[in-house]
Amino acid sequence: MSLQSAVAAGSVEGDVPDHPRGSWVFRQRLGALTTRGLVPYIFLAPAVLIYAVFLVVPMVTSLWYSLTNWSGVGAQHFVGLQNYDTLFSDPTSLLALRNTLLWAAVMVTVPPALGLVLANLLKGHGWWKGPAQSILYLPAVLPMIGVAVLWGWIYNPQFGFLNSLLGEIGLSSLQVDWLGSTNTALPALLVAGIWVSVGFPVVLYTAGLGTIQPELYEAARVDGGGRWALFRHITVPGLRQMHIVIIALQAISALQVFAIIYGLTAGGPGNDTQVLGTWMYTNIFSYHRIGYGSAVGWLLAVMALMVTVPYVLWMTRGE
Amino acid sequence: MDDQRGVTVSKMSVSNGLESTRSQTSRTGRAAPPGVEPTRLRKWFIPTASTALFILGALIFAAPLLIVLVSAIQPNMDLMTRGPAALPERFTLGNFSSAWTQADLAQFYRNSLLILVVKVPLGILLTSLAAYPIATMRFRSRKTIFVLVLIGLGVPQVITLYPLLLMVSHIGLGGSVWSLLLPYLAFGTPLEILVMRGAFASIPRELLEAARVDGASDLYVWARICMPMVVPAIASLAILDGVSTWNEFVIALALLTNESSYTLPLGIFNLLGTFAQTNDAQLEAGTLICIIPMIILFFVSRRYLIRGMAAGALKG
Repeated sequence: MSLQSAVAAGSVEGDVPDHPRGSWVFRQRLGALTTRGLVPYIFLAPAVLIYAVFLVVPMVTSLWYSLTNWSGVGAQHFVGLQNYDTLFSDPTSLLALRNTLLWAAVMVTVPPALGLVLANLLKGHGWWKGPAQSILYLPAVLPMIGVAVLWGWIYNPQFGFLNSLLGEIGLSSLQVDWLGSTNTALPALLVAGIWVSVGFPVVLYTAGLGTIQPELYEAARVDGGGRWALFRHITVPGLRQMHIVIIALQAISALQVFAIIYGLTAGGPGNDTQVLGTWMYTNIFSYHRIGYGSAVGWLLAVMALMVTVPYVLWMTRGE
Repeated sequence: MDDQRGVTVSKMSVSNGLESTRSQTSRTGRAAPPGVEPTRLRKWFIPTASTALFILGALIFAAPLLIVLVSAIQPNMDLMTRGPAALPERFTLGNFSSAWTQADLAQFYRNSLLILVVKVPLGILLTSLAAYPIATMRFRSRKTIFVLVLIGLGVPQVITLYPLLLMVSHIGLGGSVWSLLLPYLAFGTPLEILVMRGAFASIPRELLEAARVDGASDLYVWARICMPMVVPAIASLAILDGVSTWNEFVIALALLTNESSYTLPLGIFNLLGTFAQTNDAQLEAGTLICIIPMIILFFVSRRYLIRGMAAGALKG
């Protein structure tokens, strides 16, 4: 197919002239492969249909619920933004929002920073590079609820490992009900959360380090660059793409944190460790406040989409 | 900097003779400051110390798993009286067999396997069909569809639970393990399409072009040219998707209302409610039974999994 007919058919995107660097030629090749008519849509249909019906429809439905005072039975009365109004004056919802933001803030900083340091420590070293990567990534393949059991056994007040260890070494005065005290519950959960999510940045940064040209380091060394200067001016900028991927994916999964908290504290003590996910679940499935719970959920969804949409647009920028 | 390189060289000479010859020749005169011989410290102490440090670090990092393992092979009575941090005195495998029978783990295994063997191949089949035109054809709203599907990566599952619960009971799947199939397919779609599109995009255009010039249909090109060329990507994706299907918790928690259709993560949650504080040894043993398949799969497929993830991120 010629360029002209492709343009006539409207199948070349309008932004082509904005991307002159090589991709233009490529686009023409892609254009040459175009199959007319319904064929692409037939290929897309099964997956996109399931996606639309079982993800998009429930998502929109819950947005509707959030505008009602539905309790799961009876009529759904439209109440406008009243649930959202209540939400921002409900101390538990605000606490859940604060905890979610805190969780996300920790998860987008601590595991990536640890991952960057560990990936650099492991760079090019002997036999244990592979095993180290594996051990660090292992927690990420465990079911989150299993992780909750593992850490529950460490934090258990009567029989748990931590208090038992403190007792063995004569520090019983430091024994605490780790998950049952307001001061320690959230930090204890965060430690477990970091344990699970440190492996992902290690793996990605290790892959990213492999793409930085060794010549850059050589040249910088010749110019007298120290170890810190090399890290600061070659490694960190060289991993730019990885920083974006890791931080975006960490943020998206951190905002949705659920099983580890549900399994370890179920939001307690009191509601001290509620996050938006668990608080929504509790409202809907324990209190049958479908409308209010959906509003809590949509607050979460808006935050998650505020990260996801720019990330997806960045990922597909060259399309 | 010189110092660090010296360490690297000496470590290599321990671990890999061939490598060290090459690096030492290429770095002659730079490995050590002038006048300083490669000392015994560099040759032996530093590699040994860093290996020891690695082993220590690995043990600390793996501690949550090791603690549970050591607790699970002790009689519960010992844990209750002496605590899990005390040196174990008696060992037993009885916790595993009693957890297996009392918590009906066999049934949960069956359910998890059923959903796994249907969901993973079906999901990859449907999403590889969908990724094919996105990667190789040009058509109206191609990018829009791609972007809208990818946005699903960030849709919190919790917000869809109540509508999903009503939907699956409406179509008569309520409570059954099969109620998970369609939501799992839907939530798997974004990542799978992303990975498959990346794989298809790496196939040389000339190949597809030639096949089409020869009059091959799109279905033929997809099935006989594209799919065989992306087998490694499919393997990585199958493992990634298998892990997340096997581990999925929140959708199962909301949709599976009767115990006979529980999957393993719900089985663990059930154990937590039944045995925590009363028979912790059995809880730890049961949890290990549930997570061991993932640990084995991980070590068997480590390379595929890690390579697949890294490749996906680099292409993404």
